[in-house]
Amino acid sequence: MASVTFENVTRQYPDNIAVNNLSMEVADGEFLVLVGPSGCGKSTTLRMLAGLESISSGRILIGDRVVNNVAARDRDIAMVFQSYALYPHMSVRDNMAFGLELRKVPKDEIKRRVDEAAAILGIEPLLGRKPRALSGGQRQRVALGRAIVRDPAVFLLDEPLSNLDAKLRVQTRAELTKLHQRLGTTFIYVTHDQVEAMTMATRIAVLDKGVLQQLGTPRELYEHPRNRFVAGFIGSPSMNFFDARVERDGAALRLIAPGFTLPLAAETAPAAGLGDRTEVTVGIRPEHVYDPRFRPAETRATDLPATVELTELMGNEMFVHLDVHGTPLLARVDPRTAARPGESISVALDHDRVHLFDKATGESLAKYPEGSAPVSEPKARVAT
Amino acid sequence: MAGRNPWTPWLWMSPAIILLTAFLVYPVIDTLRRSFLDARSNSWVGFDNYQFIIDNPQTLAANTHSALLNNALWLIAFPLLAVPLGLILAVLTSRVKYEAAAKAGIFIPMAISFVAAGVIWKFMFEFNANIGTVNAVTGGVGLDPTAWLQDRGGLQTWLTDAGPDQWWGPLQINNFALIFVATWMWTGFSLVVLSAGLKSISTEMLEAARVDGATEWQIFRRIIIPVLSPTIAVVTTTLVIQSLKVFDLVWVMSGGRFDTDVVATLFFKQSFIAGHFGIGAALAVVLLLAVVPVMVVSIRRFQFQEETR
Amino acid sequence: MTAVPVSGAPAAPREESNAARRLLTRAPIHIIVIGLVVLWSVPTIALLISSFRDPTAIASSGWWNALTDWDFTLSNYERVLDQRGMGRAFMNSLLIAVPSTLLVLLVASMAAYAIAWMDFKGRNALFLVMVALLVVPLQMTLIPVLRLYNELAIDVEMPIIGGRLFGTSSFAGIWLAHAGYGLPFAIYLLRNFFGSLPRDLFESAYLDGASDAKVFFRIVLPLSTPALAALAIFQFLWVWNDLLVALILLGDPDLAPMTLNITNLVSSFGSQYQLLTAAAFISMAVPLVIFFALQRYFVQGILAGAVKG
Repeated sequence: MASVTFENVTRQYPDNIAVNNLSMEVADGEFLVLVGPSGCGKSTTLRMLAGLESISSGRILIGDRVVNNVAARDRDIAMVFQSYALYPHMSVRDNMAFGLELRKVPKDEIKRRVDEAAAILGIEPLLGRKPRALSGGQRQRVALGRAIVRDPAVFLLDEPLSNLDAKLRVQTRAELTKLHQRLGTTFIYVTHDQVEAMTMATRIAVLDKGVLQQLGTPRELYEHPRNRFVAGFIGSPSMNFFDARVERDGAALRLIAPGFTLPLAAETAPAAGLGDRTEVTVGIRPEHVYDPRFRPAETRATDLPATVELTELMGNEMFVHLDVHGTPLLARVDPRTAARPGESISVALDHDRVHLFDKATGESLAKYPEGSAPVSEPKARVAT
Repeated sequence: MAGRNPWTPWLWMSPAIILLTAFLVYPVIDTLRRSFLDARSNSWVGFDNYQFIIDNPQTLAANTHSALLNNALWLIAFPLLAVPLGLILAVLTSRVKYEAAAKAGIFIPMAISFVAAGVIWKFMFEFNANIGTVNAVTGGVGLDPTAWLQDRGGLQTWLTDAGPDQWWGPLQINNFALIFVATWMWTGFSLVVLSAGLKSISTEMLEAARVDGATEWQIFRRIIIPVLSPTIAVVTTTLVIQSLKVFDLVWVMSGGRFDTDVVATLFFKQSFIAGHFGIGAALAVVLLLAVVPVMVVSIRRFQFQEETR
Repeated sequence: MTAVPVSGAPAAPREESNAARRLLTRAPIHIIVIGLVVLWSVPTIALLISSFRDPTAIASSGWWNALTDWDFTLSNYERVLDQRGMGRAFMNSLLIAVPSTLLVLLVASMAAYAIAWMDFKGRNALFLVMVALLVVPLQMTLIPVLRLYNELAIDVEMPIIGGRLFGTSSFAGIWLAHAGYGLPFAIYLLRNFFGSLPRDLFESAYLDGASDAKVFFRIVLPLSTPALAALAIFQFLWVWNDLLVALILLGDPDLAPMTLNITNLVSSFGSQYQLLTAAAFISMAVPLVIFFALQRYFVQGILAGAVKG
């Protein structure tokens, strides 16, 4: 078991930079999820850690050891591939035993460890089979088993759920979390699916265009996204964004959007740099736009008239696509809400839950809560 | 991958590099050098050997012009026979239930040696119509028997019994007889490759064309041929290289006599029988120069495939 | 456009007439396919039948007479095997083909592994050079190689297999030559196959702690059996059917393979078809058995070599 440290790690290709100056520390026993859209550098980061990709500059440490020039096989890591990468010509048992055999582990010890891992994953009946005789879910378990038997210092997982069907994915998510708790090993997990990140991670690293956007617990990322990208990426459906202008009305602040005005609570409004007439981007999550009839108690909201464009009933909830004076807005409301396309209804915006972003840079204008300090120096804010 | 010794790949490739250098790279360079030396490779003669090929001073012993023209005929006629035949067979066999058996029947000659094929076809071409199958068949329709591998006449001379006994240049019967044997051996290749290409065309695309109202001929002409054109190009290139390098078949069947020599057989005669290494080497260089453009096209296509892989 | 009838009485008779028309329109397909297959098979069948006929019968009547007048004999085969040193030649062919094939498989797969899965500078360029060597005409390499062999000859008797240790009367010399000539195609075919194996498998094996040798022997080779089999068949047939290389690089008649012996038969017994047909068929037997037993791999080899590039 070991911690993992990235120090100013960069991976440069002839025509682009896949990972740009990445620094982060992953504590021993953590379940860190690297998440971002495709091409954001998350897989490259994982592969550099695995030793499958060379590092252009910076250092990667596993425990106290710099591993930049250590061969993949000597890094004491195990990896679960998206395709599972099972050896098609070997039985499940041989697949799991291969790594131990190459490390000259005694035969009876190999057998003990394979049987133990198979028991954990419930794949004992499959040990004699070849990979092609297994279902997708079974293959995925074998791939996990192959990593478990190695008892590595760090466990790497590269989109291990993306080849499973939706139902199996939900089920396996919970099992992976349990497996992590049971093994206590450091897990580093790559996915493009923010739901996987939110549900399994102890901490999430959001990457975009090779740059680390934010590193924090799932709750921190959801409640205090550092910039517009993270705000839009985390949460489903995505956060609504619209442009507005801040106006000072005595001690209070107001947001003037085209066609409507929102009060800004003193505790929401960031003190720093937010002056009169600052242009901002306002973000509000769909779940914080209510049907006034079903507004949760103890929330403060502003009622606005809106036109219904489209409704999507999910059963347990309903998505309503709205038009508020030309600003499109998605609301995630109680399914009992009565709304038909074309109707004018009243919606309640929870003005305590709005997020403010610098219109030019996209950086959050919120004060950072304790423990969620920015990972790199925040860029200079544009003041007007 | 991090941590691999930079010499490792070269260690793995070294046996191959040594063999390729000894048997292909070095001989090519040495032949180039030798083509500027005299018969025994002793003294420098400049371009004399190439001049010999151009001037063609010994038409009896070494008719270089005839060999070059014959190769040109091979280059054109052989692919022109084997590719369309393979294409027709690929399309037709895909529509019959005994496809596998039919293909095997066409394909068998690929497996046997040029030597065996030479024996088979000497026997087929035997002049005596009581023994020779081909003359028995042509005799059956009222034509005179022909010495297929010796006859220098043209097709017209043979069919009408009128005209010159020696036809112009390469367009003589015996050359066509040899090219036909090569076609017999290689149509299987063109059939198998084109048939695989045909199978890779999605049936949905053909169904879409049928729904659009295309006739079977229009589908063949407007869909199958264009989609298959890269495969056709591959087959054609292979056959072109084969026809440039053709040696065994001519050597076994006619020995290059009666003006059937191609560059490769003439090279062989000059080098190993006449003992003139210089002219031999120059002929080999001519052969190589002819192959180079084909090679360049192949490599271009290969690079394109790598990029789109 | 009129509406398509969905059901009802008119549909049934239309189907019937369609079936009849279908048979009629498909008749030409069957005629062409079967006709061509017969045309392609006749020469081989003629050879086979003739090889079992009495010498006097072969010389006086066509092989087709044997279809009605059965007088088969094995005497031709007995004569060929007894008197013409064909037994020894058959052994020689095996002694040449099997080791050359194994050598090519080993050397080419090592090189192909390095080119497909190791990163090094100039890897693509090196591969292109190897592919380009595919088109070098074999003939042009023979004189330099022959000279090389004469200089490097090691005049030591080889036990059991016969010949010398190295030079123009050694098996080792011809093994190496065939390996060298076969390498471009072999490396090309195997690199394409190795390159198509999933990258994850290799990375997973490296992470599992496998060295290059372990990955090569435990992952690459077991997963590549189809390509290796196809290549083995190809290389074996190529060497088995070769005449040219043996003709030049094997000076010792005791080591001559079948192809060389048959060619000598052809030149000394030009029209003694009873010997030629039997000898040709003996030389074809091994390729034909391989062809029918391993046709799938044979076809795969052709496709891997052709379609991809």
